[in-house]
Amino acid sequence: MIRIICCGNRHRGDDGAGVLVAEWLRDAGIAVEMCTGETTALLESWSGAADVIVVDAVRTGAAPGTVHAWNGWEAQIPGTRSASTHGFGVGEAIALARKLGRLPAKLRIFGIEASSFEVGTGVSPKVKEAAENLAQELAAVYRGSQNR
Amino acid sequence: MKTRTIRVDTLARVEGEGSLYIKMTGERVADVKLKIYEPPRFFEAFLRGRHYSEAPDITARICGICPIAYQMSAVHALERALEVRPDPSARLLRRLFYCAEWIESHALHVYMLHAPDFLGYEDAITMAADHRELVEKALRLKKIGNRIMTLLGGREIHPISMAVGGFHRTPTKTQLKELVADLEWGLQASLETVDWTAGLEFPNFEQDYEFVALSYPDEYPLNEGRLVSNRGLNIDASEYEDHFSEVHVKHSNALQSVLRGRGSYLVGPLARFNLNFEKLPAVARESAMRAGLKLPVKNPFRSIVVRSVELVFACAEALRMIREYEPPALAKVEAPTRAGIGHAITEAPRGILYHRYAVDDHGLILSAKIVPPTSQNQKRIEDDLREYAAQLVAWPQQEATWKCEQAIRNYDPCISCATHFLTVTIDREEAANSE
Repeated sequence: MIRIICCGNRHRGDDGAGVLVAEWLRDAGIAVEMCTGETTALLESWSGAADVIVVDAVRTGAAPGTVHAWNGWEAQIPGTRSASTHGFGVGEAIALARKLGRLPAKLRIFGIEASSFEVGTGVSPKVKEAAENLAQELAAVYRGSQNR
Repeated sequence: MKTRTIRVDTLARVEGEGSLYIKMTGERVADVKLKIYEPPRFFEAFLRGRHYSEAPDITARICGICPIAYQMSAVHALERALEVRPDPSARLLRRLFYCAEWIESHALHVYMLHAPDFLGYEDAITMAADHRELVEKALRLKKIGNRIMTLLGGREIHPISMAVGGFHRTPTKTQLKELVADLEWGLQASLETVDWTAGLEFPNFEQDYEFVALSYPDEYPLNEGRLVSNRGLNIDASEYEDHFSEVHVKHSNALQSVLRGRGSYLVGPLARFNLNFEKLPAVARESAMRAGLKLPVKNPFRSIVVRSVELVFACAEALRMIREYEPPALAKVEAPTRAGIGHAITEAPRGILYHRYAVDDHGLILSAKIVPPTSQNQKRIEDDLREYAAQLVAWPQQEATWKCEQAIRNYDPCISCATHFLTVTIDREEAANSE
């Protein structure tokens, strides 16, 4: 069973990308956990799960709307720090989970490259499109895992 | 004359981002600027024209760390505008709800954000290698707070159950009783936290603060009370704007709150504790005395101990609320649709949070004003740094910078509430012009 965790805040521009993915998946009948993206909250969200997918907005310098896929066991996750409203986000959660032995057996991170985290602006068109495409892919991954 | 500058570009372990600039000329601190990039007052504008019933949900999204505080100030202000009084059981549930947020927020700050400063680690992640038990304790305490929030709020983030007039949905006695074992563990863990923080090393630094907090006759303040200070302030929430104003400062786009004619003031754990010590439950008072806290506590670095005492209070109070709870006859009292203005102040984990709303006779919000605790402490943080930096003149650059960051974290500033994405920057460079 895959646990999908989406991080973000719909009132902070492209930080709403994760929220869009969550809404799309829920409309498709797939259970999703929402998380602020704050480090300890993330550790809590994935505790007890063996196969986890985390979706968050990131800033790495790539073109807005680019979707990055990282293996939580291997990669250094760049750019997530500024995407979280807490200066303390997904990358830190992985680092802390490693120290505490709380990293899920399988952890995939999908980062949607954001352009702006301005309060009050909506998700920009390119990011919105990327979020929808990612949601469709994740739905397929989720259903594929159920059929196995 | 020797001039040196401390500049920190990214202040870690502060909610949000910010920057600090300190200039020292010889032995003198020439300039201190805590820069905060002003939020576009988005939420105040966004609330205008909305139905009042949407305010609790909208304001809860201002901050991921203290959504309950925003909901509490919003519902209390609107209930005053509409002249509704919720069932006493709803009041009790709200107190329990607020305790849960305090437990989460204080556990996060004491262990994950502030403890690394005292133990000499860059952050909680590096600290976890040597002090795994501290991080595990923080996570478990946070989880307890989160469990209560999820039960009462209907979901884990951005709780949706709180309403003007009460709650959309209330828990059963059995559901609350299931929290007791966790909270009893939490109470014990919090007592250990007080003892542990009492053994930390504190810089020798005291200031003559004006402490501002709510005060209620027989309870440690959360949701209601008069706003008082150690210098004679004693007002109702509706008088707040007669006594406090927000001043625009050049170096920061943010507004700094001041007490008119008096300047900066301090809100949060230290203020609450100093002004309401005798209203703490005995178990919290005793832990404070065991920790050697002497009233009034004027050393801001000891806020980590006081915050831990408030953790004890929050667990003990949550247990009391669960013992006393009877489901309300009416979960939500229907509010009449009428025009009015309402003000409320509640005690967010970081200090007082002021809301004012004007509602028209269709129930639409005409105007909203929100003053978060971090805006209120901002000037005080600068004043602390001005004094504290003078003690650090002889310190090596890197250590002085660290100490300044620690001084800011005394206030647990939630800069993402006060602003959007504050980038706290402390930079420091040394330039010898002469000597």
